[in-house]
Amino acid sequence: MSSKITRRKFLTIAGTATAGTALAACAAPTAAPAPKPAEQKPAEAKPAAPAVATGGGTLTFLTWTNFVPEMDTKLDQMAKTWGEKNKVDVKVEHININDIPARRAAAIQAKTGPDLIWDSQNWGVLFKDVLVDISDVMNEAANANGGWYKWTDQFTKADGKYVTIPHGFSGGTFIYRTDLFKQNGVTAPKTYDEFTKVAETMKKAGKPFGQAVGHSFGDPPGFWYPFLWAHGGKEVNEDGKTVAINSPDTVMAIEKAVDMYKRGFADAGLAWDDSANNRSYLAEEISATENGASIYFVAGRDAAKGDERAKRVRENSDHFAKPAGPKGAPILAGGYYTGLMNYSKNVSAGKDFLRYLLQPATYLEWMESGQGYLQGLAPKYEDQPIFKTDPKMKPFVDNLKSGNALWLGWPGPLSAAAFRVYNNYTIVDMFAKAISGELKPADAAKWAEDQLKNVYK
Amino acid sequence: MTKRDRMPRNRISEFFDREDVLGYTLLIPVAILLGIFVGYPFIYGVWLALTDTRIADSTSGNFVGLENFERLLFRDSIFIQALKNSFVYTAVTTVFKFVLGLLMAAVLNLKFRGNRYVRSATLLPWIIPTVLSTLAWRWMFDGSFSVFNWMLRQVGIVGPSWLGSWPWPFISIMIVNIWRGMPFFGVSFLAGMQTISQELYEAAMIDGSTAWQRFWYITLPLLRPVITVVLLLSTILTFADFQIVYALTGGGPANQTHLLATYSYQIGLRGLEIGVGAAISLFLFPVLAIIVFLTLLSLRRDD
Repeated sequence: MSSKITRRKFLTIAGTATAGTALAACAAPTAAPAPKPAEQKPAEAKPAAPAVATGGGTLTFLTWTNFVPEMDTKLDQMAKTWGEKNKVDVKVEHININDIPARRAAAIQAKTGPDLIWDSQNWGVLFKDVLVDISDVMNEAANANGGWYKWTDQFTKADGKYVTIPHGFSGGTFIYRTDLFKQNGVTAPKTYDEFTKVAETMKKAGKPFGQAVGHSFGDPPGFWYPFLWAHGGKEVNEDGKTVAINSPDTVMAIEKAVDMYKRGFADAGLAWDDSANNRSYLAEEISATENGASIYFVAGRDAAKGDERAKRVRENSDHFAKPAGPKGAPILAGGYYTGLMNYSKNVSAGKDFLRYLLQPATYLEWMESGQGYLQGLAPKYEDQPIFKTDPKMKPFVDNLKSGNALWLGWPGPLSAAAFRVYNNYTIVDMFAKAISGELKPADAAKWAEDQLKNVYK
Repeated sequence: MTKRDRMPRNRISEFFDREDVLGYTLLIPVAILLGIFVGYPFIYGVWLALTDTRIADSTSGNFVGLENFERLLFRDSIFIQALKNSFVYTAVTTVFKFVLGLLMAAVLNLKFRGNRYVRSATLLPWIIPTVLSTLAWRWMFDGSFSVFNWMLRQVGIVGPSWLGSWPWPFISIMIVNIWRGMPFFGVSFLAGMQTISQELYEAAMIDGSTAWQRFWYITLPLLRPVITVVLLLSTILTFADFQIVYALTGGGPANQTHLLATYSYQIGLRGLEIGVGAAISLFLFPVLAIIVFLTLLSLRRDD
């Protein structure tokens, strides 16, 4: 047998290896290899400790890019100040919040990454096994802040222990153009039926309502979950296990959504994320959209710089609360929360930094940098000056006071499964499939039922 | 230096003078790298696909056999949609990239003033980072600010909701893929065309051939090896495309534009069901393996 490797043979081997590499790279999962979950450490169960004198090391904080950039600037300043004082090198990394789940998943699998991670909703319940018990921090902060809202308290807990700290809440409110509404003889709607009629009038006038139905963390779930609940639909029963989405109430909600969208909404919303409606409203393309106060804030900031359009938008905008359906006017409870990962090599610094963020003076300082964009998650902060001096900001506080906040997976308990459904956008997609004409309302409800059964099993 | 001192060196030298030894020795570093960065993750991925592993869930990680595949095939309509999308996306874009790339190469093969600049410019879509260029496309397709719709409005046509209403989102991602991938086809074909001897064309012209006949009977057959390799690489890369869809539509609206790679990401990393996510990504493997096998077979026949 000849042992000589010809040029052709070598090229064949090399070519096969290259193609095989490309092939395997395509087929292999993207995540880094990981230990079996069984090997993961349980949540740190150390007893609550008094404040620890921090010193040295680094701390990485993965957080979102705020819709109000001034809040990010303030947060960075605060982290720097605290770091210098405590001799800890604090790195704050801001990324699109829609990219945080993947970063977090990869970090957990690799057991290395950001020490502190920020996300929305009750994400701590799903990640309780990899989060540090920060009950000591939260108990101190609850006393200092006069207690959190009841649902906030629940959102930060898992198995009776606190695993995340709360930052703020935003949403549940619509911004609308008062001048355009007046020109067309309509007022802020109180019910979803009125909402559809007003939207229809405004669409005929060339200024439709706009609502995201895409894959984005905030506006799409913030609108469509409450819309479902307001019409009697729910994804699961009180037991938190029995899927209940495929009901006459859900089908009715979808039918109403299709009708509402066709009659009064901008078609582009099917592809919108959380920032697209802001751009569209600020460009005066639409006359109303669900929003925190970010549009109002940005319009005010740009108006102060001399932007005439922004000035017009700011002066002629106001907010109205969620309309009511046959079953009330719920909003989606939520907000933003940060947890300390148990793979962190600087747990004591992490806890101290969280303590610092929850000190009333620090909390208020950061909150005020957003001029009401985020509302504090304790009743104490309802008295912020911005909510008293600017009546247009009042609906945001009224939302929190209303007690209408329902949670993912309602009426079941807070659960990991409900958070997975939220992450998969199943409820949003159910409406989107019907609105886009891909499925009939009854088929969309059936489709959602099949998807939910894969999760609630 | 004595003869005795030289002996071991000679033996080593003789050992490596054997081409098979040298060849395999040179392949060892690559084989190690492939083993670590491709082999191990791949085998681990296969294992994950056979378990119910969920990220941050200490009760998961149990062997479930083919349950994940059964769920995907019979209980997950989004997966079926993503599977169909992957085939249609690859087939349609590859045909367009092939035809347009061939056209581009034929034009660039002509001698004209500024030819070099045009050749460099045509490579830009391939050179610019995909996410960056896709974000620019996203603006051009934006529901409120689309430059295409603005142009259409100037001539009295109402443009579609590019990223909103089916089938436009799917068409949009295919347009971007074709735009980005065409230069690779064009430049590869151009390189192939430039190796074809001019004498063949001159002889054909003396025999009275038309331009089409010269293209069909000389250019195309002699380009066959290049075409095969380019099609192979493009098919693999397009099947596994992620960036364009992720940056342009995120798989939406309502999951209508998911490909297997983006759906795997959504289920595995966003939805945390990494076992199911691995199963989705493994669906590509047999398809691509067959394509690679057939292509390499074809190349060997050419030899």
